[in-house]
Amino acid sequence: MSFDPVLRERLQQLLAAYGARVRVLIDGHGLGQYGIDPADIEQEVRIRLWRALERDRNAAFHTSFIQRVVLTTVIDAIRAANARPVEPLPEEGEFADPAFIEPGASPERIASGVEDFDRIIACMAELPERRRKAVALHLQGFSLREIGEFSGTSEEAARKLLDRGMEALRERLAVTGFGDTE
Amino acid sequence: MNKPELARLYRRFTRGRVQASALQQIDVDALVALADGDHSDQTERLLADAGRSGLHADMLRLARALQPESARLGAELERAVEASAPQHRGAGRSSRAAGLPRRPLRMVAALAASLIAAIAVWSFQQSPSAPPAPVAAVKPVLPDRIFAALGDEAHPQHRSDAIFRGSFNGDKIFKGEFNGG
Repeated sequence: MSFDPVLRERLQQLLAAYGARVRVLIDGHGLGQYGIDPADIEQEVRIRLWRALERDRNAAFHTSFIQRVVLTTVIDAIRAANARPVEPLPEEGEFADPAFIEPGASPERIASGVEDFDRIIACMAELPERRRKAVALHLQGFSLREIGEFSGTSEEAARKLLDRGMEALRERLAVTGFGDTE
Repeated sequence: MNKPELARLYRRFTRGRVQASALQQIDVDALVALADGDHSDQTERLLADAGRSGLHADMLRLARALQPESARLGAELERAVEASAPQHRGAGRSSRAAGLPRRPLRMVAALAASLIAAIAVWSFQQSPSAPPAPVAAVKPVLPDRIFAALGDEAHPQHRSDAIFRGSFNGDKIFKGEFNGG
């Protein structure tokens, strides 16, 4: 199935512009650390969206459909880059084995980092669930507004949860002697 | 250790080598829903994963960043297709115009079709007043019981009246032997 040449050119322009923006977003969010090439993602997203356009020539694409195409493409690429035997996902409160995480670091740094990280996790596990979740999302770099939206609360409520959670976490970490080695 | 160091350490240890199972368990629909502000059991699970997995957190952040761009692309694609629709209709008109020299052929074909249709309609309308089916005409006539009783049932339908047979003798009163007396 083919489009009118003028329409075809216009659609390809739109997909090219979108692909370029996707590439910038992937670069900006540091997803290259997972072994993927943003240029490959850009190309694959354009191909998949073009195929979808050929299937549905009305081009009535919902926003979420386009998002899914990009996210699936990224996940597929990360899978391909990290193909290895299946390992169990850590349970709630557990995390990936830190010994595998930073292979370039010195053994001392790894040992120190692992020990500090274990303390953080242990102290976070003592927090009430809502505070723990707010703290974890904050440490992952999400803003108060995002934490509020994701948690279904207001930004102000998210700020209170985070403040109390971080205060409790610091107190617990201080008790364990966290940071004394640095 | 101050707050930035704490966050840096946390992010460093929740990223790195990606576990295959973590990849398999990423729910794209939940990612999109959570980025859109929806809440369900799936999004709650994903939110918990985003707190303890850097990959999930990064994918959630990407899903959120993709939203305005994807909405814009969807609207632009729709506009492009809608804008091209009048051009397609115009192209249709021009192709019809290009086919004008073949108009007489189309007229003949249309007339023939009309004639056939008219004949069909006329035939249909005539069918109720048509002569009865020949079944009744060929139906054998039952022999008259009078002649049957006389034993002439072999060819009853062709039997002529006996009065016109050659054996008719006439009334004797008009015969030649009438003597006038």
